[in-house]
Amino acid sequence: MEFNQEQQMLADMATKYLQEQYTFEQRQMSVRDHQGFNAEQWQQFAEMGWLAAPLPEAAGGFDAGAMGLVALCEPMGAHLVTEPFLESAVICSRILAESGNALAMDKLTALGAGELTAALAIGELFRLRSWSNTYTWGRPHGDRFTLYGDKTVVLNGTQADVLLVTAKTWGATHALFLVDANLPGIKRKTYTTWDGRNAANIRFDNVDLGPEALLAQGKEAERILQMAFQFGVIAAGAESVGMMQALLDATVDYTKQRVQYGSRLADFQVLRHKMVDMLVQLEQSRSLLLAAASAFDAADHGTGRLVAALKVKTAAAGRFVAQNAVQLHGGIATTDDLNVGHYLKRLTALEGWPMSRDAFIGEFIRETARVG
Amino acid sequence: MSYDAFREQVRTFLNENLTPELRRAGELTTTVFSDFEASQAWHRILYQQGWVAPDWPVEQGGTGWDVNERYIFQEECKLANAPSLFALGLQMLGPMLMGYGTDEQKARYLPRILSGEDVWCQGYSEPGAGSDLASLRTAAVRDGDDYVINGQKTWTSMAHHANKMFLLVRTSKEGKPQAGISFLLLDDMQAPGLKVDPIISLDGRVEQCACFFEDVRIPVANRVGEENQGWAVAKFLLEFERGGHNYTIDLKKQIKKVREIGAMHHGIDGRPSLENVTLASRLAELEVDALAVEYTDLRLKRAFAEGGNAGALSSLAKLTGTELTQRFHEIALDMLGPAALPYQPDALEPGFDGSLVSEDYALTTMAEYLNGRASTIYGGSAQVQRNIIAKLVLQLDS
Repeated sequence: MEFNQEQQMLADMATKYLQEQYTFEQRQMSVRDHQGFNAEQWQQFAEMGWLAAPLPEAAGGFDAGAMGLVALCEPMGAHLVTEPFLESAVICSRILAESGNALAMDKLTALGAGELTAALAIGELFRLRSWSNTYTWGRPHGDRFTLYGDKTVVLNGTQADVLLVTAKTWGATHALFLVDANLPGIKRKTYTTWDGRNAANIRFDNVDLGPEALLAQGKEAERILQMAFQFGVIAAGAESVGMMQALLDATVDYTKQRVQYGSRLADFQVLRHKMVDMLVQLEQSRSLLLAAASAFDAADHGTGRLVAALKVKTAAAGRFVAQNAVQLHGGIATTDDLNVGHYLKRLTALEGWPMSRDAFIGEFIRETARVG
Repeated sequence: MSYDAFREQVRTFLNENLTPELRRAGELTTTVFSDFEASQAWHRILYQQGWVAPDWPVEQGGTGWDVNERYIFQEECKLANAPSLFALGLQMLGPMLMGYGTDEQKARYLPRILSGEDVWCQGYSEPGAGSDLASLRTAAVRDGDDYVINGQKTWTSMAHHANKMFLLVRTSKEGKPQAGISFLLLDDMQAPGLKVDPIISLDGRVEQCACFFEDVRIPVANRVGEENQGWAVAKFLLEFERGGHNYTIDLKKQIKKVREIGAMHHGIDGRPSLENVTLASRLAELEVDALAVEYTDLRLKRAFAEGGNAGALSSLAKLTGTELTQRFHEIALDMLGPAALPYQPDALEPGFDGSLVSEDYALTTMAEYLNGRASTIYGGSAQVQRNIIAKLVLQLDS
């Protein structure tokens, strides 16, 4: 339940790089000018091996596993990285790798090299994002498919070259399609999100797909998505823990410096106790993060339960830590100039990713019934 | 032996030795203490087996089990509803004497703690000194080879059953409050000048006492450590009191109990409470937090083994363990509603053979809830633990 030497090196390397090359000012500039996607940074991430790190060796990756992912994502959270590591390199790459599809393997190489990015199109209008609740269709015609439907809030949707789309095929079987984002019949309405990134609503208007576009369907598609989401929740959990630590450190520093009524804020007991509660939330999240990542890497049968627990805990803990970091900083943290508010935004975005905390409470109950 | 085989061995032993009466005493336990007679009976059985002090070194009567085996043993005992052992001698004074006691003190006291012959209580808190223990005032004045003790101790757990007491006394008023404290061993709870008054708790029963000292004599040879150096000894024990307790196992038992209640007791919709979405989600959130405490405790134990700050770590474990346990008490209460209301103190005694006015699974809920309020007060209140963490972990004073 702790880093080995290799993972520690990965974490140290990431921290060092981001400290030097990914300052808050640079980040803000990239959010303003490039919708959070700095192509040069992304190329650096690829060259350092980060984009291929989460993938199995068979898919051209370095097999860093979930624990390796934690080592990378914690510093990314601490430095508020806006490039689509979670959305593309973690979730989409994992889906492609699990599918074993020949076309998917080609795309993986390009994704790992930073030549492409991908996005998962799963959300739709008027409904919470879910796997089974979809009104997008992939109608079979011989061995080809016609994709029809609308997807909303596709994260990294502006940038993505490749889309992974959930849909129903003719017998109402659920399926996952691999779709080139520039095919005829695809229209994107692009925008930015509150956490400094890009997204799109995407219309698929009778898009013609070849047989190779079908990544998986039925139970196999379900398995792949579940596996990818577990991996993603661990990555997002690590990002959240990185942010919570950064917020707690900033709050402790600030309260030691700021003087009110003739005393340092840090000397007021009510504030000290609040910071201890922030620490408890952070450390409990970290414990579940390490437990879930270890279980994932060991293919433990209790992994699903721990991952659900991680999600339930970090969503609440992130909200608590971020809100109190703002509160203890006071007015300055309600401005765009200080990073504290930007952590609040990103943590808030992650609370509902990939699905709501409540959905994972249900998942935790089901998994508890399954594994005891 | 593999851990699975070890667990089997423990289970076999428990099946053979844990009588229905003892199990019942375990079931009816609503504080850290079980029924005194049952606890002592179980102590003697474990002593016969050589398993009464797994945490002690083998040469002093320990078992030689590794940390996992000790955990398995504790967990199996708790989940099988074994009575809790009275911990003040085994968990606190024993290890402390091994570190700070003279050879003579070790030879005299350790075997009798192990056998259960001596039952120790702890004279720490006073009416004016609870969480702020260093302000204690009970005075010890040298008179020849004795100290003469005057003052009052309170919240002395099980003083009405104990035959010996270890206590903190003030031997000097010079310097910081911590500097003038000494640690003494009182050999006889029947000593002239000592009066023990029971304190009735919210559940109507007695676990705590007030102890009045009027010219009680304790030989100087019964001092542990140097005169005025008792605070170091006391702090060691306090950290034990906070960190030595295994909250993970407590929480597992709470989960089991609440699930039992939720499966048996039906809500207003006519379905078992556990099938009610609201209650099921609330319970799930508590179980998530229990997992978080469990894995945090594992990390703390590793940090402790690697030389981390025991004070800070034991405070974190105590704070989270007790506050979460209280939330389990609350959800049990919420599931039961009025069914938790019947007050039948006799029925909480293991020997009770009358008829119950409530469901058996509802019998202990209110007592646990009420008694549980003390857990965030004793051993340094939750607020004191937060002060310690603020200072030692967050370093807010620097």
